[in-house]
Amino acid sequence: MIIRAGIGFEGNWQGEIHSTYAEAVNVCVRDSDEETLKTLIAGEENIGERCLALEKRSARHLFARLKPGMMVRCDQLGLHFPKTGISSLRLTESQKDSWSSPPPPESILINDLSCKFVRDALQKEKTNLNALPLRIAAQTRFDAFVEDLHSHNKPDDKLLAGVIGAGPGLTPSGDDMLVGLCCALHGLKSSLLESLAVALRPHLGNTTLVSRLLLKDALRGSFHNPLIQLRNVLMHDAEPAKVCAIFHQATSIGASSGCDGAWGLLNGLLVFHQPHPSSMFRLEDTNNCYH
Amino acid sequence: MKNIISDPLNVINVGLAKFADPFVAHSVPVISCQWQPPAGGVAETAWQLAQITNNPIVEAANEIAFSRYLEANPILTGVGTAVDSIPGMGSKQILHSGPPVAWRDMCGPQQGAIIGAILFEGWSSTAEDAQKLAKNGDIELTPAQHLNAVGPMAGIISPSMPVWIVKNEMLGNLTYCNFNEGLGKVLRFGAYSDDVLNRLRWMADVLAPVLQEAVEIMGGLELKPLMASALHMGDEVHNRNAAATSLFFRKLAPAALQGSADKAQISEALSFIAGNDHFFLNLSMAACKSMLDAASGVENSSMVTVMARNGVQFGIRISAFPDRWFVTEAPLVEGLFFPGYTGADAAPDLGDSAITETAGVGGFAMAASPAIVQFVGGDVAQAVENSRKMQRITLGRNSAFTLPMLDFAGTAAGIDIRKVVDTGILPIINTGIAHKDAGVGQIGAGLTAAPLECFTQALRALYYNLNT
Amino acid sequence: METRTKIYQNIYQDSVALMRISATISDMPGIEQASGLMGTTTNLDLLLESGLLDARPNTKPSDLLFVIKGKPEALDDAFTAAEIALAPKESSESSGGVKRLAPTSLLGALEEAPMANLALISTPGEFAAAEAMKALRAGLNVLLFSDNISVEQEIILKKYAAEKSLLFMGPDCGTAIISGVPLAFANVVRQGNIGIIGASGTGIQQVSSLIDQLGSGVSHAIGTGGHDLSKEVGGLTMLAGIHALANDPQTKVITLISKPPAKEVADKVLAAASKTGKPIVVNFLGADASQIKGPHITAASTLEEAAHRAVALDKGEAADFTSAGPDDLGINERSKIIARTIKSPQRYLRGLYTGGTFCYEAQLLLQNHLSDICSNGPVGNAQKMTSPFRSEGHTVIDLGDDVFTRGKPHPMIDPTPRNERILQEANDPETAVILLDVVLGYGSHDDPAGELAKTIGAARTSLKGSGPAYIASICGTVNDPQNLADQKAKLEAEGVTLCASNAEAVILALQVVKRSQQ
Repeated sequence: MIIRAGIGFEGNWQGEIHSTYAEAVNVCVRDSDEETLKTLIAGEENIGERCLALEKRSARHLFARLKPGMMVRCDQLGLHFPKTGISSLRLTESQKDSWSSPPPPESILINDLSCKFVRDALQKEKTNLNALPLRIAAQTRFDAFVEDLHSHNKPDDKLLAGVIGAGPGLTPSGDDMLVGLCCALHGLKSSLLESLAVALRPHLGNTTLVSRLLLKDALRGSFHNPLIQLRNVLMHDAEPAKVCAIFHQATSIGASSGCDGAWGLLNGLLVFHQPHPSSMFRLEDTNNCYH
Repeated sequence: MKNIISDPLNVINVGLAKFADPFVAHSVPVISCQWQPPAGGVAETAWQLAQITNNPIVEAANEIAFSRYLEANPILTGVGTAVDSIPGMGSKQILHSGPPVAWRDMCGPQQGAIIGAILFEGWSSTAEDAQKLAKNGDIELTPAQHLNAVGPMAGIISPSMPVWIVKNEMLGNLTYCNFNEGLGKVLRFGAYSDDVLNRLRWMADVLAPVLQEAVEIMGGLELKPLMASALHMGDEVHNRNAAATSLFFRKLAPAALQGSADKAQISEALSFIAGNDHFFLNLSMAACKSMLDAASGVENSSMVTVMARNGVQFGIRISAFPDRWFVTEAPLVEGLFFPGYTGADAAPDLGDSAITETAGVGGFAMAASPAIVQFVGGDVAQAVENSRKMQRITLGRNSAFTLPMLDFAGTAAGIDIRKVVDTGILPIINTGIAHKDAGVGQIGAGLTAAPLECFTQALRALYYNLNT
Repeated sequence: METRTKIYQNIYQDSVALMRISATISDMPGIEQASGLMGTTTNLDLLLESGLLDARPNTKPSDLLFVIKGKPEALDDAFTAAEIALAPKESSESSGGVKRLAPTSLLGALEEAPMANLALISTPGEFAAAEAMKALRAGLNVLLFSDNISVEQEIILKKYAAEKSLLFMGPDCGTAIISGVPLAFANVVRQGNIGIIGASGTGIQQVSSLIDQLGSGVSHAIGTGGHDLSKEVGGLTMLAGIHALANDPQTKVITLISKPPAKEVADKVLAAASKTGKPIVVNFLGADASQIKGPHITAASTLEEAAHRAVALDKGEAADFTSAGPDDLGINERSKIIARTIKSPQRYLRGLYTGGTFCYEAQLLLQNHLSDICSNGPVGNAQKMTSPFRSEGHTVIDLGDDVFTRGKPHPMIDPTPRNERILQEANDPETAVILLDVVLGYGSHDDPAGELAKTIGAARTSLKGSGPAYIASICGTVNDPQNLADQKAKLEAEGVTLCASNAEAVILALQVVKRSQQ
C-alpha cells in the first residue's frame, strides 16, 4: 500500500502520533532536543520530503485506526505500530525512488499567462479567505514585508516578526506565505533566501510545530510537491488546463494554507523576478496554447 | 466470481451508515453510499430497473450503439433546399423542434415562427391568414427529428429554406439543420416581421448558394475535429460557438472566395458569418444528430439518442425505440434574465439543441467553457462538478471531445436511461430562454435538466420489451 | 456583549474543520463572532490591536485559542459546543480539503471500489429487493438486512444468486459473521472452526457468543433470513451456505439453526449437510429430535445445546451436553434461594424479550411445565394475549414485534420501551419473576445492561425493596464493544441473577415460579 517515501522519511526512528486527519497523520519524532514530524499521507499528490505516501483507500482505513499518542517505529524493514494489532508497512514495497524536493529550474523565466491565471483565481477565492479571522491582517503584513524586502534588499526584522505566526490555521497564513516566498526566491536562485533564513531563524519559536518545520524545510530549499508543481507552471510554459489543475491541487490544502502558499509564491516571483528583455515579446505567442 | 468465504471482505454499505462501524474497526475496506431511492421513489420501477441492470442483452446492444456513436464521422457535404434535400419532406410541410405537438397546443414562439415560415413560403400574405391556414390543418406540422433534421429553438424548417447536409461517413446516414440567423429578432424565437422575412430570403437567395459552392470547393468538411478544437478554446458548442465559428470561418473563407458568385455577395455572406458568434451552432447540432442517428435503432439498447423540447413538452428517444417518444411537461429554465425580464416572461424549455448534450457536448462539456458558466449563472467549480457528474449517467466517454479542465478526459457521452433512473442524476442542458410571446426573442440563458419522467417511461418500455 | 477566551492544548484540528466549527458557533443564538486561532504571539498582538482581546492570555504557539464574542448568557453554551466539536472524532468521515463526489448509488459505489465483494443492504424495504438485485447482477454477494420483501422477489433473488454462485443472505437477515467480521447485529467472536448457518439473527448471536465463551471460535456465520426454509423458498440460502462451508477448509464443524422447516425442505437440507462429511449440529427449535438424523448429524434441542455440542465436536470430545431441565440439582438450589424473596400473591412469570428467537425458545421450554402461558407471538400450547400491552398470568413477550416497533427503533437499539414495560410488570403484585435477555454486539445499544440496571434499581426503590426477582442471560462476548464482563457486573450489582444461556435462565425462572405457587 506504500506508493512512495520522501527522502527525509526513511531511517531508524521512533515517535508518537501527534495528530490525525482524514487524509494525513503526523508522527512526532524527538531526536535529542529537536522535534520533527513525519507525515503519512493518502495519495502522493501532496508529498514532501518528510512524507510517506500511501495508496488512498487503504490509507484512509489505516488513518481511522490511528490515535494521537500511539507509538510508531521505523527501521529498515518498515513502519511498525507496536501493541496496536495494526500490521507493519513494508517500506520496500514502494516501486519508485524516494521523493526529494527538486533543485531550482535551469532557466529563470516567468510565464505571464500562468501568473495571470493564478492571480485571477486567487482573487476569486478572496471573499472566502477573508472571512477567516485575521486573514486580511496577515496578508497586509506579508505584502508590506515583501515590498520592503524588495526596496531595501534585506529583510526588516520588525516587519518579519509581524508576519510569522500571523493569521488563521494550524499553519498560520503568514507562515504559509513565507514558505511560498521562499519557494519563489529558491526558484529565482536569489541570494535573498539566505538572508531571509538568517533573519527568520530567531522567530521560529513563535509559531506552531507544523509551521516551524515547514519553514525550516523551505529555508533550505525543500518544499511540498504541490508548491513545486505550481512553481513549475508559473515559471515555464504550460497548457492553461494544466495550470488550472495544478492550481486546484495546490490550493485544496487546508482552508487557507494552499492559497496562502500560492500567494506567497506568486507575489515573490512577480516582485523579485528581473525580467529579461526578450520576455517582452512572449505574450504574442499565445496561439500555441491550443495545439 | 467474487467469494466472501475464501477471500477477504470488501464491502459496499447501502443504507444505515452505522453498519459500516464494524468494518472500520476490523480494517475491512468499506465504502458507504449516500443512498437515495431510485426511480424517483417508485418501488415498482426500481425493481424493473434492477432486473435490467447488467443485463447481457442490453449491455451488448449498448456496446453496438455506443461504438456506432463513437465511430461516427460527420462530414459537412453540402447545402440544399429543404424540400429537395430532406427525403420525405412534402411541399406543404413545416418541420418544428421537439416531440409532436398540435398547432393549438404550441407555445408562442413556435406558433410565431410557423406564421413566419408560411409568410416566407408565400402561402399567405398576412399573419392572420397564415394563422388560419395553420389552424385549419392545411399545413402538415412534423417534428424535424422524424426526418433526421434538427433546429434550434422553434426549429422551423419550411420547404424552400436552405439546410446544411451532414453525412456520417461511417454509415452513410444523412442529417440536416437550418441556418443560424443570428441574435435579436429572428424566426427561431417566433419573430416574423419584414426584416426577419427579408433576412430569411437573403439567406436562401444569397448566403446558401455562396455556402453551397464553398463547401463543394472545400470538398466537404470534417466536423468532429473542428468541434474538438473549439472545446479547447472555450466553446461548449451549444451556447457558445465563438471559437467554432471562427475556426469554421478560417476554413470557409478561402473556399468561398474561389466561388463564382458576385464578389459583393461573397463579401456579404462572409460578413454575415463573421458577425454571428452562433453561426456554427446549427452545424454542431447537425453533427451531433449525425452521430446519434448512427446509434439509433439498436434493439434493446438503453442509450438516449434524442432529447428535444417544443416549449410545451420535453421528449426523449432511445436507441431501442427509434420511433417512440417518451414525453413529459417541459421544465422551466433556471437562469439569468436580461434586464427587464423575469421568469414570468419565459417560455418553457424549447428547441432541438439539447441534441448537443445528448451527444456529450453542451452542458456535458460545461467545464470546457468558463465563459458560458458565468452567462448561465454558475461558477467554474460547479461546471467542473457537473461535467464530472454526467460521467455517472453515461455509457462512457468520448475521447474525441476532451476537457482540458478535467485533465483532458473525454466528455461523458451516451446517456444510459438506466443510470439516470438509478442515480436520479438528470442530464444537464445549457440553453437560451425564449420569451413566451412570439417574436420578442431571447430573454436570458440558463441551465435546465431533462425531466426524470421521460427516462422512467423509457425504462418501463425497455423492461417490457425484454420481459414479454 | 462580552468576549471570552479559552485555551485548548494538544488539539490539532485542521483549518477546514476549525473554520467550520467557528461558523457553526457564530450562528448560535446570542453569539456575534467566534474564531479559533493558533496562539502565536503575532496572533495575540493582532487580536489586541483589533480590540477583540483586552489582555494578553498566556499561551504557547501550539495552543488553540478560541475567542467568542456574544451575550454573556450564551457564552457557556457556545464554549460547550466548541469543546464537543473540537473533541477528536472516531469516525473516518473526510474532513480534508479535497472535494470528492460521494457515490449516491450502489453501482456508483462499485465504480469507486471495484474490488468490493459484498453489498450490505439496509434501505427501506420497498426498494431493498431492487438494490439486492442490482448488487447480484453486478456480481456482488449480498447481505439483505431489510425486510418486507415479497416471497416472489425473495425466490427470484435467491435463484439468481444460486445461478451465479453468489451468497445471498436475507431478506430480514440481522446477523452474520464473515471471517471474524461481524455484520449488522453481530458479536465480536473469536475466529475458529465452527461454521454456523441460521435462519434467526438472535439464534446465531446466542450460539456464536456461547462458542466464544466456551473457548472455541467461529469460521463464518451465515444468516439465511426467516423465510428461507419455508416450502416456497426451499432453503436456497441454507443449501448455498452448506455448500460454501463444505468447501471452506477453515470450517470443521457446521451448525444449523432454524425454526422447524417444512418437511421436504428439512430432508433436503439434512441430506446436503450429511453429504459434506463434516460433523453437523442441528437445532430446529421445537422440532421432534427423532426426525433429525442422518450420517454425521447431531441434533440439539436448545441453542445452548447446539453451541456446546458444536464446541465438543470441534475439540474432538463427546457431544453429550444437555441443557439443564427442571430436575437439575444446581438449578433447584439456586431457585430455592431466589424463591425466598417471593411472597404471595406473587406467582407469575413475565418474560420480556428483545430477541424474538429467545422468546420463541422460552415458550418451547415452558410449554410442558406451565399450562397457561400467554404471548404476543404464541408457540406450541401458548395462548395469544388479549392485548399485547397488558400481561395476564404467565406471559412471555417479544418486544421486537411489529406492534411495539412501528415507527420506533427496535428494543435492542433503544431500551426505553422494555424499561417502561419492566416498571409496569414490577408494579403488578402478581409478578414473581421477570425474565430478560440482554443482547450485545454491533448494532445493539451502547450500554443495554447499564440502562436495564438503572430501571431495575428504580423499580426496587419505588417498591421499597420488595418486588419480583430478575433473571437474565446476556448474549455477547468480552470483545464486543459493550464488553460482556462490564455488562455482567452492572446487572449483578443490581441483584439480577445471571445465567449462561437463555435456556438456563428460562428453566431457573420456571423453578422459581413453581416454588412460589407451592
